[in-house]
Amino acid sequence: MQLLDRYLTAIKFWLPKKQRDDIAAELEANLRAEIDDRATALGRPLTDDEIAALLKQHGSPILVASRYQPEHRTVSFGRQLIGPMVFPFYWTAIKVTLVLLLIPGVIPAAVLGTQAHGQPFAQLGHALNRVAWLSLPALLLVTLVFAAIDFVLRKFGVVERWASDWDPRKLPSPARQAKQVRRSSSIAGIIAQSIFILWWLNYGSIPYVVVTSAGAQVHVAPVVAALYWPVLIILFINLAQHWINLVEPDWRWLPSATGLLSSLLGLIFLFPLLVTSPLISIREVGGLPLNAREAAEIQGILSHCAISLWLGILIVGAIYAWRLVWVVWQMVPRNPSAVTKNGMAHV
Amino acid sequence: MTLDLHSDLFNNLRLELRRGLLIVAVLAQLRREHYGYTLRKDLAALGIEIDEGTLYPLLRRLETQGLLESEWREENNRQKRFYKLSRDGRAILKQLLAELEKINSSLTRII
Repeated sequence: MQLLDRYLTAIKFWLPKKQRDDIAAELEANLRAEIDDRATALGRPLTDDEIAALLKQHGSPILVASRYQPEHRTVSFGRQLIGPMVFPFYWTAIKVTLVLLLIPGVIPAAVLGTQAHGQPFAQLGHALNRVAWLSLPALLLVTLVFAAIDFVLRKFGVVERWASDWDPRKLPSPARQAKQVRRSSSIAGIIAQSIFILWWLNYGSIPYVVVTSAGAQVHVAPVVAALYWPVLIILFINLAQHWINLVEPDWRWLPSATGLLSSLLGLIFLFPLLVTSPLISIREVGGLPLNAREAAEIQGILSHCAISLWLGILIVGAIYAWRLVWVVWQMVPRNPSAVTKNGMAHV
Repeated sequence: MTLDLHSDLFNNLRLELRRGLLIVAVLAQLRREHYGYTLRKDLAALGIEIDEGTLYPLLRRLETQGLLESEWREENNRQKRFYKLSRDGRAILKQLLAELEKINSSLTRII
């Protein structure tokens, strides 16, 4: 019954977390009853090929799991835009988008409001209003992206192709499936990276000019502004990794390899900040000019930020490198002769 | 109208027609206790083919709606989840069967 265990583990991977064990136990009971029934009719136990045929007829793990989604909810605008299979992913994306917009948009305003003299509620109201205006295009964009995904899945029969092409015998063992990249982690990564990319495309061209309260313009050096495209490239590499892992959760080495690559690129791209001086230039435009001490302070803060960022990326890169080595080491097939019959390894 | 389109249309209409009737059949069959697999087998023996991908999630949905109740119990050394009609389920089934009979007699007169 190894095939059945592998099949049930694969279904559990896609099931809603709260009901995962209960649904899997019920499916197992029904499938085992069916296997027993057929074995009784044949007068012998079923072969692996016969069990595989039965499981294939039952449906691919993702398809079976999709039927157990709490409600078959859809998004329709005249015609169906997002079907029940894509809907759970869409709904998660909507919730994460709202949280990502609310936290940076409202919490600072609430904190500033309590510290500022005057009208804390007015500040909060202003922030909420701003978040509401930002939310509309963001939610529309998320809806359009998921409608496009749903359209592609239906137009090209991707789900039907998955359902007909899959082979129960090719499912990894439960132990191996337990080490797969979690679906929730890939989805969270896709949403977070997509939102960050959108933000970076709109606002991330690194502020060239900061006007101080004294009226002076603080310009960042061109080397800082030149980070715009490299950061965008790193974000797209990470986004691609999450999409690939959503489809191929078995590629456990990919997150570590991508993390290592992103860190290396980050170190290379950020290195010019360590050797470039100054990182800012100051122009006086009316008002009181910054004095030399204030300018040096800003310069010092920026230099410290650059060094800290560089060191931080270096440490993260080292962790990714170690994790990659560890994952690859675990994937290397071991020599079975090194293990005795009772499962004890020779020392 | 091409043959493919004709067959797609027929399949869609057939699915729509069957959807409600399958629920009636499942509720009626669960006046006696069953677990998923035996329910499917019994329905098939009575001429109602319903694939497991439809039936097993449907049972859970009907239970969530309060029409069925279930309990885990051991049978032949295996734990199984047995479903049966709840009190609400019995009342709804009675109404559904009356409605079905009404539609059926009207249809017979129309056809």
